[in-house]
Amino acid sequence: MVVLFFVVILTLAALAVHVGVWRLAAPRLHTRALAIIFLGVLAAGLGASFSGLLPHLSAIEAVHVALTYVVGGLAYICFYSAIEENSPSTLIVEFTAAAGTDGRQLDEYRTIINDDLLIGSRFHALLRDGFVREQSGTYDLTAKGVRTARIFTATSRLLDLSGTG
Amino acid sequence: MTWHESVALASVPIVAQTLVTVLHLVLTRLRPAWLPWQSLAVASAAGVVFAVGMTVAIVDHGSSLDLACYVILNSGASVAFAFGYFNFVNLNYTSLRVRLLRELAHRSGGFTVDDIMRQYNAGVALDLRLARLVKAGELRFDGTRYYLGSSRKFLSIGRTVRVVRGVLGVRPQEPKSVKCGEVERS
Repeated sequence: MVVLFFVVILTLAALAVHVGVWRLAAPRLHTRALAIIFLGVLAAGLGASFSGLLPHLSAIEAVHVALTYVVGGLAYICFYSAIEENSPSTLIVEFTAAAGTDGRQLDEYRTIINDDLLIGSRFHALLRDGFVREQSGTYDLTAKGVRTARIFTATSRLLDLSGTG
Repeated sequence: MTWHESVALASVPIVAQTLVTVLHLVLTRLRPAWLPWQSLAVASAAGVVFAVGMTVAIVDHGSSLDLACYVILNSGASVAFAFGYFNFVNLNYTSLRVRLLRELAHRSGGFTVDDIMRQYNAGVALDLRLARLVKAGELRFDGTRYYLGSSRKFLSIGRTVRVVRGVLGVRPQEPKSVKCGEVERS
């Protein structure tokens, strides 16, 4: 029971800190800030347990707490990416819903789904996050970009995918 | 509870996720006609059932309260693991950033934004997305117009995202210009 108690308390504490920080001044790099908050709260919680401020955890219970809490935190970070940016698929469905029973023609979608939304924002993000670099007017992948591309190429082969995106 | 039982309990979500990954890979090969989400849903459900079963088997002589707590904990961790895996797999299917990275990796000697736009632009992406949403039942196409389909998953996700944005006071990032020469490090 103490493991569940810790996971619930730490998760609620991390979410409270997250909402508080975002309300005061949302950080520029959201994912990194979320990771720091979640790991900081975990360290504080385990420290409080070992120092006697919170119920004592054995070493294996601490591992169980950390594992479950970190997995939950990562799942939240995945969900958060949908909050950060508009998903084109969700925009399309909401745009269709707004038309009600009249529906939409293909041309109408071009007013909301354009190159700036689809390509511009993502290309800026690749530059900002260090996957792509500029060199005298042209761009190429950084080592980090090449590694990431290899991971996803291998995964796509494993899942037998092509022509997605 | 013995040390071995505690270790076994903590390992359950990891073993369950390994099962989910293997089962998903097997299903994508054995059932290529299934939608990607179907094989993921079946594999994830199997993982959660496995996690609950293993937890019950390990805590067989504990109190009911302990058993309930560990079942909640390990099934919750397994769901979170499966959600993370779903997102990783989903990136391969739908992420434009991943698609861009994979295509750019094949170009040697650098590229310009115009190079990207020639190969990949909103027109192509829109056609792909609409076809995928129709296939998933999110939209219905009668040959001339698109209507809301029977599945309302994306609509529910959109509403949830708006609620969370309201709580956090977050606005989605504004689209950035893709015009040549305007892409700058922000």
